[in-house]
Amino acid sequence: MIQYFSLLLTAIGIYGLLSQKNLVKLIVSLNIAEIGVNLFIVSIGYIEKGVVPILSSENNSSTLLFVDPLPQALVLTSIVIGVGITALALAIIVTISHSKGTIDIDELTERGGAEE
Amino acid sequence: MNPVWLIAVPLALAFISTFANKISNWLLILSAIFNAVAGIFLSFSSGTVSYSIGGWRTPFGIDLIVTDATRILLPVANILFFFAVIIHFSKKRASEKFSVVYTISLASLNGILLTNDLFNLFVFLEIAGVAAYLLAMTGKKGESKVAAFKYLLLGSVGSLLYLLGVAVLYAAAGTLNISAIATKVSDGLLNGDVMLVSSLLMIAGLGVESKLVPFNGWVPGVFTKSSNMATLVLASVYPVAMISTFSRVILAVGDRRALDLVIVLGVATVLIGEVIAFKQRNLRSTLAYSSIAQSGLAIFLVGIGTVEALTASVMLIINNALAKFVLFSVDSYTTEELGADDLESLYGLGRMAPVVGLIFTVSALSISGMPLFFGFRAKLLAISSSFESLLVVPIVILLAAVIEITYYFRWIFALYRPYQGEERARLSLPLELMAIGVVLAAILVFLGSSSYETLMTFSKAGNAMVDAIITLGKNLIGGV
Amino acid sequence: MKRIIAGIIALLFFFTMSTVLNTDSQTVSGIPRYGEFDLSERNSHSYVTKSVNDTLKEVKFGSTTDAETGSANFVTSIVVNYRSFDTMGEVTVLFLSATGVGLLLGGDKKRLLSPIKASPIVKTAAKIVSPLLLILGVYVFTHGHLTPGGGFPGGAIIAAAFLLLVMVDDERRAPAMLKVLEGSMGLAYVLLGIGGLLISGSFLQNFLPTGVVGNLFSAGLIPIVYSLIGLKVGAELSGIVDDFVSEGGDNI
Repeated sequence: MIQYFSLLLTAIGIYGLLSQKNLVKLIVSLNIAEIGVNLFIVSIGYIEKGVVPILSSENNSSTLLFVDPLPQALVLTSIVIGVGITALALAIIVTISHSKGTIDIDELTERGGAEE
Repeated sequence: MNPVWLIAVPLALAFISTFANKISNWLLILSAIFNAVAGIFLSFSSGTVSYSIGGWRTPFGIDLIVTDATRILLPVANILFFFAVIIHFSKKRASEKFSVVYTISLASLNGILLTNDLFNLFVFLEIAGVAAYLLAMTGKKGESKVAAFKYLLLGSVGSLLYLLGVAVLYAAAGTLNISAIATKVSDGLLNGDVMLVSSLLMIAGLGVESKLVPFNGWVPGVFTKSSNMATLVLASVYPVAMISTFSRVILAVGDRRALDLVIVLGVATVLIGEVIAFKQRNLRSTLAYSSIAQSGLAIFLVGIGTVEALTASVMLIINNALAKFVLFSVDSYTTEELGADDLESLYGLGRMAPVVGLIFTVSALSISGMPLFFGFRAKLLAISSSFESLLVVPIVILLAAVIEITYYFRWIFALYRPYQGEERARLSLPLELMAIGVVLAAILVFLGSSSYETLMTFSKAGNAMVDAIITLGKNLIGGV
Repeated sequence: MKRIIAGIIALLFFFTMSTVLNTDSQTVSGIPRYGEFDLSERNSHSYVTKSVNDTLKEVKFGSTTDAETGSANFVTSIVVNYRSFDTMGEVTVLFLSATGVGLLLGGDKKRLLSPIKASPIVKTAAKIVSPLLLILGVYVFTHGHLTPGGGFPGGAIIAAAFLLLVMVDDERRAPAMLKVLEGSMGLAYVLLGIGGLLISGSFLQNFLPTGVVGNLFSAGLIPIVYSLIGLKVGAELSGIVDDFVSEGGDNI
């Protein structure tokens, strides 16, 4: 169920990326799609009745049934990369709105054409 | 020598240059020199070697892989980067703001060429991507930002889809190592539908950077709006890494059915690229669309998948990199000296600056595939190997080649047509541009006219593209 | 029209992806049913049992010595040891984005003032809370090999402490030291990697004793690397916050 849900979230993100015109909304859509993908990656590592992949005084032996730790590590990396991309994209949007006065993608492409 | 030095040294120098801003230009030059020398050094040996990182056994840890294909692509990429740096720094007003970005992009391109791990490839693609978005912003104020934003959006969606493809493959195969997955694929251990879906996601993801047809909307904007140096790097060094990685990944872990799609997309890219390039009125956008067409040409051969086709693909990648380097640097030279690069303002340039005219002509002839030049051999091999597929494929490729020859000749003729406008100031001829241009043009002529034995290196590379990774995987499984 | 096409593409994506779920079978492996797969078929089994290079044996919390990686937290053992090269790349991406944000927006002396005046109570509370947040951040990244968390969350908590100060205090700017910290931490990470290459023969290989699983001083390089990452990420994210509130822009 959670896998369908995460894919649906990605699909919503893709819909937003294809239909929105505001640059900030495009970045929001990108983030929604990203969350969907991350959720999907975590979900492929889940095992029924598996425990948290950390040895502690309760779960103290490596022979226990742990959930797959690798997807969690991958998601950690992909989240951090997502943060970086989002920060950069927002900074570009700030500069675009400073120099062009608009953040609507249609207006931006029209003006680009007019200046050429 | 361990190839990880090619990644570690530029990275370390980049980190140093954050707190030593004044010398960051020198650090960039230093890393470019180091990588060029190390790249040449790497190409002296032969065979497939895998180097583990962190000391873990190969399917578990990340490993770097050096094949016969890497041995020629890696030096080419690093040396061209070094040349781009030389041309950049011979000018007085080179700013040091972006030196860090160039240094990191060098590290990431080497990482992309070397890594043998799907997720590690994603990380390096992201580094190269972010560096490229920043480089795309170096041009004219507003427009270059809009172009860079478009690139960022497409690039991030592409890497997101690639990541999803990797996740799907991991869920099925339980490993991220390309060799290990390739072995499972060739043994038929994976579900066909899962393979197909993950290959589609990966083609879409890697297709953005390789300029494949529905995903290449960023190319014209970035190539025409960003600064000269950035365009030089993005148009000649990046494709070497991106297209060869596309072929490596898709050939190793792709589904047979997806390869047919690669042929269709590649041929469509060639045709659309050439037709739009034919219509352009200024040199830089012609070259931008010609780059799209050239990557389509190198990619559709991946779909055919024979050793001959991959040999042609490697030759086309190198031909494109060398020739585009010269063409784009001549273009930036003309925009700086003459103020424009449309057909009329180029009239008479070949007479005023004979060397510039000569290197432009040689590169244009080589890229359009005229006999005596390297491009001819590459295209001949490409067309002969494309008969493996449907008959319509070689016909379309020939048609595209004719269009390409037509428009490149238009530019060559323009260069030698007498100029009749007002008097122009004497052109200043940059020595480093001429020296590098003459060297690259000489290589194109040499490879085009040398005996067949010298081209054996390329067929070894094509061979390595097809089966080096899977052989490594089989050895690993056998070794365990 | 555009919206309809967008919807069709999104639905197409959803249904294509849905068809490949639950495709695992005895003969060929596909995507397993949610929550039902065999960990021993995946690479992760070796990570969990710490038997990539070593022989398979039970690892006990608090008693096993010199286990592979020596980290009680398996996710950390993957992030900072088995796949440390990815993490180095990830740190580089963040570094590059922070540099880009700095190039685009930073470099101005003045800064944007917050639209709401904070009351003295909020200001005083922020001054008390942010050092505590700082300590929490340091705790999270130094215990990354034992508990959930690590360098990235720890760094984010440190940056949150800085964000709190920026929000209540209109004069607050990031110290110039941050750039030096950022660069030197990244450099130290690469140098540790090169040290591994020179000492043990492989880039980023651990060259310290791994100690007893579960002790604070265990797991070889992991706590050191995670501290470097924590400080670096903290400095970077604070730098991004500072760039966003500066009145720069259109500098390039």
